[in-house]
Amino acid sequence: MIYFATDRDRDDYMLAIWRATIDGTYTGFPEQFAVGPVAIGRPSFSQDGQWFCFTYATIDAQGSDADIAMCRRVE
Amino acid sequence: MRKILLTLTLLTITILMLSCNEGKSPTTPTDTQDFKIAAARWNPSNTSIEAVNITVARTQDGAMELPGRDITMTATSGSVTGLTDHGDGTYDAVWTGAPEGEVTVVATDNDSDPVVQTSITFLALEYLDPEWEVPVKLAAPVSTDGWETASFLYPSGNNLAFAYITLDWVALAANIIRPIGEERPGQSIPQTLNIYIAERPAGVNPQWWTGWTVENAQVNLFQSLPMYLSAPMVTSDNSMAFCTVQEFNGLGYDPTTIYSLDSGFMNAPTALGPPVDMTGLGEDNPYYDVTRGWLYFDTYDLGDPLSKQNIWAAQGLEYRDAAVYR
Repeated sequence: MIYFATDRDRDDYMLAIWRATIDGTYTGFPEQFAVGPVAIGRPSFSQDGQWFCFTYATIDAQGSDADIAMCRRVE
Repeated sequence: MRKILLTLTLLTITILMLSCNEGKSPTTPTDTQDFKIAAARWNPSNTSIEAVNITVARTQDGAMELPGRDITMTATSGSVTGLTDHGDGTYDAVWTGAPEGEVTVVATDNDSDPVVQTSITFLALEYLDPEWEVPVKLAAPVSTDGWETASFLYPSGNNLAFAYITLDWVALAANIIRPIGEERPGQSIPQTLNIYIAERPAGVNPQWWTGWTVENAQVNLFQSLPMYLSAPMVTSDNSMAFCTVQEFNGLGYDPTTIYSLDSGFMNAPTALGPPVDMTGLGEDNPYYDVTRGWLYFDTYDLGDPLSKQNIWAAQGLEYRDAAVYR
């Protein structure tokens, strides 16, 4: 499985995280994995599959800030 | 005699009042470590995070359960309702609201003197795969007022590499220098992207998003001129790492290029060079699948910030001799 971030929708510059099956360079059709409303990207996982980490950016009229979030797999 | 009686009466009333207070609040813990908070998806099968169960545990000295406390919870958006005292020192309530991003819930024990509070900041997302819990913002010193980006969780899950700059990156893309955070200890050159390594505290920590320590990576000393080091990545066998470097050319920054280095981010990195490095394009976000020998990365056109990015894969006897692209 390959996870990556790209525009949430066509012509929408708010990032969302997608995933697709991959075999070498051949990938399946991607499906959405996580969607904002904040811009989220750079997904990474622990090897045991129990932790998921990503960066997110909050952008508004006052400016922008980026932080890091993590979550656990549902028990 | 009347004066003595009056004094005794007042003393008795005072003692009675103290006894009443003690009866209402048997203990007044002041250690915030005794007030733990957690968040969980109310209904994981609902892919939109619009309801989150908030649980707090109030104990004395980490052991004695404290039921019957006057606990309140507030949120920066949405509402927290249905607070329930389970009689064993745990209390829970449900946050409901729109999936609008960051939400901070603050729980307060009003029976403590001084008042004790604990908080959690989670992300209410429009969509998240149902297999995953509500995302929680890592507390300072990982997430701060500055720009933390390009995070990478190590295979162990106990370390995290990320890049940091004190500036608003979106404003910077529009050539506006807008400081939003403080320089971190060890920062090599101010207002440049440096790589930092965060480490989770050892042992069991129910509030796993707190207590991390952060250190500046030695690879940042590689900077002699201002440059951006970012997009750190460590292979699954912990044998090597990758990052990106963007050099300052006197007028601005060159396109990003991919470098490899030791997994401790300690020594000077080595540029992969062509054919991974394609002159004129920026290469970013390297991920090396060490078991299959594929290097994945994306490219962008520095001259066109809105240009479409593409994902590439390279494979060869060594990634430096990558011969296959797509």
